[in-house]
Amino acid sequence: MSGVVASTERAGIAKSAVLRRLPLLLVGAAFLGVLLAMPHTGPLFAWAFPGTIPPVYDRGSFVALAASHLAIVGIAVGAATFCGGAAAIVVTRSWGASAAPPVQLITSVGQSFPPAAVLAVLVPMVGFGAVPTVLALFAYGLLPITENMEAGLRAVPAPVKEAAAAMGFSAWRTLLLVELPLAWPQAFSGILTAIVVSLGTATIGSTVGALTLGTPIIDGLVTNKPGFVLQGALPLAMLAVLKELAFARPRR
Amino acid sequence: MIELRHLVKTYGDVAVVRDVSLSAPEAAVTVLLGPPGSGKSTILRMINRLIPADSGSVWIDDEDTAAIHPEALRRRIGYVIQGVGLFPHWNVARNIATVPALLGWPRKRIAARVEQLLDMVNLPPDRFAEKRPSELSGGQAQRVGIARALAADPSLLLMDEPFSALDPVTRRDLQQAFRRIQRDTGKTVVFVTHDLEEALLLGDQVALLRDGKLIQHGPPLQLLEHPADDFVADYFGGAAAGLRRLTLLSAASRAVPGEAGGARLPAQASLHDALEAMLSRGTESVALEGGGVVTLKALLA
Amino acid sequence: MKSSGWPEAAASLAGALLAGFAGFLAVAPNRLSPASPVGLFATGTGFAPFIPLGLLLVAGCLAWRRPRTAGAVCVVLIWLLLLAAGDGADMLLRHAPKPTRVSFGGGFWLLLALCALLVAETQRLAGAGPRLRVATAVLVLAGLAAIAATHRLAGLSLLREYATHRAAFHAAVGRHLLLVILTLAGALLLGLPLGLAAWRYAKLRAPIFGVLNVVQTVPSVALFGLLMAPLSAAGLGGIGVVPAVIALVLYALLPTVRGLFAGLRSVDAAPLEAAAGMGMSASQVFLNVHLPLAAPALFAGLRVVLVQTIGLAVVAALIGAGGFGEFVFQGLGQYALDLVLLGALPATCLALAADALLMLAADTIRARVA
Repeated sequence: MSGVVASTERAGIAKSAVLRRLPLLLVGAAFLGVLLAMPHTGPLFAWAFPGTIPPVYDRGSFVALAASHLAIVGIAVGAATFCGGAAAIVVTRSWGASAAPPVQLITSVGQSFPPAAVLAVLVPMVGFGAVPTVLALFAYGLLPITENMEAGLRAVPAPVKEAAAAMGFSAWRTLLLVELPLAWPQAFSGILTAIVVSLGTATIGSTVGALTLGTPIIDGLVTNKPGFVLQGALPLAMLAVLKELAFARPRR
Repeated sequence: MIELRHLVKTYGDVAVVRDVSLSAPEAAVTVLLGPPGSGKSTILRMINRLIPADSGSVWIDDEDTAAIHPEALRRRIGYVIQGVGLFPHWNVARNIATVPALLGWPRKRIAARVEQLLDMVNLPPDRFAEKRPSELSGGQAQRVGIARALAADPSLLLMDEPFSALDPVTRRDLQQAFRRIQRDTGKTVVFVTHDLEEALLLGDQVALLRDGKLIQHGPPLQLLEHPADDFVADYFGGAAAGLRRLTLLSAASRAVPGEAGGARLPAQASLHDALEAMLSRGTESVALEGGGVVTLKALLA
Repeated sequence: MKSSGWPEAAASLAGALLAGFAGFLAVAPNRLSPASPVGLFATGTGFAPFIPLGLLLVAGCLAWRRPRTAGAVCVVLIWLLLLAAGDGADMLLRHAPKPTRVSFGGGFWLLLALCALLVAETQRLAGAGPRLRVATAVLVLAGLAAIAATHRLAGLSLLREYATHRAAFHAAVGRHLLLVILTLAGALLLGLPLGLAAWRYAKLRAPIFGVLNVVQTVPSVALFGLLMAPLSAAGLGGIGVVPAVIALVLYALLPTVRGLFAGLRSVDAAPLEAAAGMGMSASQVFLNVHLPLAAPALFAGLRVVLVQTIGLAVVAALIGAGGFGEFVFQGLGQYALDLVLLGALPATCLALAADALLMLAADTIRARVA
């Protein structure tokens, strides 16, 4: 009897979770649909912007652009998570406390640099393409990731750490089995913030030759093809809505 | 004089104030006493119309407050709250000058008034006028709060648990300072507290409330000696009522001619003070300033 | 937090090594060709040895707990770096053909960043107040301006780009500032009522913040693009200052609204009740008490608006709004990287200056309110 109640309850919870996620799933499906359908919209854009040849951006598939976009963000945020996480661990150890202010200065000072300027300045050092974009996104991602990871680690109650030490845990074990798991939720919200910011900023990378969903827009602006601009802007706007639906809670 | 006539306030289904009628006499302190949620703060806020009454009326000097514009009404009434509520971005002098400035007093008159008030609450103007609220201790902040409420010389003062957040020593200090100021200025005061000791110490009249209803109203001694029901008797301390009573009776009223050793108690000391002096000195009589002694026998009579 | 300064000392030592090996300048046969690095000592400038020596001195001062001296040396080092770059460029150009260009190399940038960070860090270690920090920044900039005024840097490619684009550069400064000022005005005009509405009416809160959040996450490039079609249809033109300012205001709304809303919400209830209890009217309570107490958060929001707008205005050059971005994209298009720098560098400086000034202003206001 109680088993039946529990299972119907569980079904109810699962159903409401799906319902809550429904807008996200719908927009996600629409986003993929737009990416796949874009190459076949030639007649539509030919009618809307007559004289543009070709009517639809054709120097790469939209799916490939999206994949490259995501890969750039993934590599940058991954690297920032690794470095920022390591920095946060160092500055929360007793021997690394002196490094906390300089780390904070370095991670925060970059935030006020205009992304377009940073990308442009990186080009003479590392050349055109995805590399300057990855480097810039890495730099912008460091602050939220390090800050949240550090806050998460500092929030671990001292008695918990003391108890771990009293039970014979080494410092390393305490970090791995106690501190990191407890700090994870907050650290994760920092990573999400970095992802959300990076997904948008990556677009500017197209101005220095990175392949992203912004590439058709830049191409359209440079060669004066408003159709291209719209073809790039539409999936990007959908991506923005998608981000908001997926990550809205941790960003507040 | 303030008269509350059949005040009622309901939030949703919850009756917070139920048909309360009460009059607070001129130049006296009327304490609204009761446990949390008894409606005492709501009643206070209905007097200066921060909370509108559902029905009933408040009359000040035979004038219905409903006929007065609420902002004009509030400028005539001093108001002191528990959190003090000093404006953190203004210095002490400007905080005190708030209502006079609202009333458009000339600058010179305001400055003179601020100085006078700071003196009255024992904060030397040259040291405190320019300070920011963040630089004050809790007791100093509440002194400024009282000065601010008295700034435009209102005849009526409303006080909502003004001393509850202070430590016991500071609280005792401020209670005495307040009592002195009230006697000197002759203000009519309505004072909200949940603290019985404070009510007995400060109140000329005490109104005991429970669940939005007025249970008993009168001089503190009357509530202590003739409680209307078990709730009042209980609230007034049951077994400790005898000791409490002593705090309300003046030592001078039981004085007999004679002499006794040791320091003299001040003329306005209570019988409680006299008993304490006897206990600590191990004697059976203490002398009062202005002549006479109180003996243990007279005290017990 | 007590700090020993060992990370700063270690960084100075690393910098001293870096000065010896990394490419300090970069030489190219002409304006558009790829450049090859030249080490600090290879440039032949007489200033070269002083830079690693200075950094060693900084490391020594930090090891002996003399952060003030270390900071002073760092300030001088910043000037020395620029002098060495200018002098090195002159030396390299002395026997080179006329189209040869000399630019800053990676080593120069890293050393400059290191010295700037060390100035900030030594000030923290010395416990410097905000006034000293501002005075130091002004001193450093005044020194840089004085060095530039003596034409000692004229050999550097960046300055030669400036010389050829002088008029356009000055126009770009004006245009960039115009974009920022118009955006700030628009953000205040629309954002303050919206923030007020969000605070006053709980029902409006979710829709206002929901829409502004989505707008904020639409990439700038996409928003500029999306606005082109409707604006040109409305007769405002899809390119130029107007669509740029519209897009920039849309981005500026979220931080403005959030700043005002958070500020109004953060105010303690007691002063507000006291103000009402003393007979202030609703608008008097709001203007005299509530708004001043909400000001720090509002200012923090406006700081985000300014920094963000200065940065996004660079991108606005893509839709013909002008400003520093014009040099950036023109330079990227021609692969004339010093032209890129002519746009990117002042935009960055402007953003950093705005950031520092507003942070100082917000701190001052917060100190008054707290």
